[in-house]
Amino acid sequence: MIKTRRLALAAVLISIMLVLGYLESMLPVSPVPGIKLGLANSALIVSLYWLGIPVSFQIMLIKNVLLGLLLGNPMLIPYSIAGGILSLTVMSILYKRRGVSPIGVSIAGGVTHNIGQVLLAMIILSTPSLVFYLGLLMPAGAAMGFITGMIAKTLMRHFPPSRYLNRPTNQ
Amino acid sequence: MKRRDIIILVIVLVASLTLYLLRPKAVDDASAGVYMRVSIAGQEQELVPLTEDREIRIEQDNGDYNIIHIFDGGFEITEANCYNQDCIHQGEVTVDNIGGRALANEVICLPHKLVLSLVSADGAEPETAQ
Repeated sequence: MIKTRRLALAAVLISIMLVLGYLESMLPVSPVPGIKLGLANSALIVSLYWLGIPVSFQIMLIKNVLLGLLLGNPMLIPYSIAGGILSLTVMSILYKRRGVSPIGVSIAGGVTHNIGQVLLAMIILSTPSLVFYLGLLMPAGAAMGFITGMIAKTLMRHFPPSRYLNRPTNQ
Repeated sequence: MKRRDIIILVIVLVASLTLYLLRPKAVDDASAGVYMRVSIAGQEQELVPLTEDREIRIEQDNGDYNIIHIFDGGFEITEANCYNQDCIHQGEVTVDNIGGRALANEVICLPHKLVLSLVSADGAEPETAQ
């Protein structure tokens, strides 16, 4: 039963991330390419704390591929996956450490997502000077990471996982 | 926010500020004229002098194209058949506005792997610090 609930929760989180990603794409174009809200990251953080590292990686990969196809820009999927892998790796390292709250995890995740994307662009375009672009992207990533971290933290406080995942049921 | 959250934030802000201060601000020698360097997937294609007003079209074998408006001392992408049109929103690059642009001397069309850079006569990048 608990396994089924975890599977259901993973599916719900992927759906939430896809909807948030789709809504975000309808916002007006930002003047600085690469800066985005990244609201879907709050669902990924919830997944990290509740479902663990391996499931979160699966969720991240599925979400990025599906969203890329949904928005009709498959050329950009490698960039979101590069950002996603680096970001989730750093968040996985941080999330169980003492003294780090979901907000710190999310800030680190937002910033490393930008770093992953720019690194891949530097390699594909052979343009090392893109590294300076991070001077603008990283503070934005930190600000957005703060917001999504607050959302994740609030969500987890009001919907403790014990009510859904850990309690043995007798049904 | 816990203690280590603050440490993470400080590291990020220091790193950002460092990169921001080191960013390219100007073409080092514009006296001999400036050029637009066209690169596709990291391969330099051509060096176009930025003198008179004209339009050029860069088309790749797979049908991807960008139309670039060239004028004295600068350029901008005016049309492209890419998904996101980011390259058009990046606006124009001129000798004078490099320091104020997010992408400094470059206009980039990520889906087409196209990089346009404003460079000086010897093809040198802008200075990274002053």
